[in-house]
Amino acid sequence: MKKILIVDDSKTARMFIRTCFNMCGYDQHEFVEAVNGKEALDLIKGDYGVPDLLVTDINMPIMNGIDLLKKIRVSPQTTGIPVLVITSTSNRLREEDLERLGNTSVLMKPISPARLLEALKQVVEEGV
Amino acid sequence: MFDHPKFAEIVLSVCEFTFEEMLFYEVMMSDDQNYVSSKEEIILSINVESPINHRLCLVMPKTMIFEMADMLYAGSMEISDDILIDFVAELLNTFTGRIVSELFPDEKNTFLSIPKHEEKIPFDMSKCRLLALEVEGEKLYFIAE
Repeated sequence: MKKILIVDDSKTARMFIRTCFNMCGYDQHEFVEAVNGKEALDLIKGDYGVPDLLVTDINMPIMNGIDLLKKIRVSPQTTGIPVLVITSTSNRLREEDLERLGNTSVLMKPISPARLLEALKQVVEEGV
Repeated sequence: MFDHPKFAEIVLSVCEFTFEEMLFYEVMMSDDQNYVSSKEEIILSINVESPINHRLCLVMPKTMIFEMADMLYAGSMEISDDILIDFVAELLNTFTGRIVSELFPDEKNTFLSIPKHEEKIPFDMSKCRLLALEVEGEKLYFIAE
């Protein structure tokens, strides 16, 4: 069973992401949720530990998804976590910057099970 | 932004795509473009802070949101007003991100605020662009300042 950490300040978005994962056949995995980057980092540094996959929004209060990603990429314990960034705006420069950090795929909202599967294949199976 | 010649076309196409992808609902432009206020509606606003400064509002009837949220949560929890507000906030965030991306396809720095719940429409309606859309016979309003 893989550990999947979903980070989004919207309960609806977290629920929608989980529904898409379930529709993609990931319902047997362990899902944990955080409402911002700081809460996610606290979980990772605490008893929860390093997830097998991190799914994060960008625009969140307290700590956004970009700062979260930068922090996990500089720590040897977390630098290799596959990350799926789900964003509401298309921003090519930012997406290129994020993907350059490695093992990161960017998906624009609204996600669908088909597009989620494609992004997962890229970030988890192939390694970006 | 709302004076863009394709604004209405882009809003409709973004709403159609989002509702179909997320919720399997069909959306169409309403024949009646007038706004009628109701106590049973939820209003959220969002600021587009880059590449331009604009504020957008989404107004949806509670009955419509309840039905959509109930389908998403599939009975896993009670659908409270907070859930309804969060649901509209997520839709507004998704719509606005896509609309801005469509209007400014080459823009490299787009930034949106966190959506905010409003008790009433926070605009001078005489200076706004209102679009009324229809889902399953109920109207929702997209308002751009």
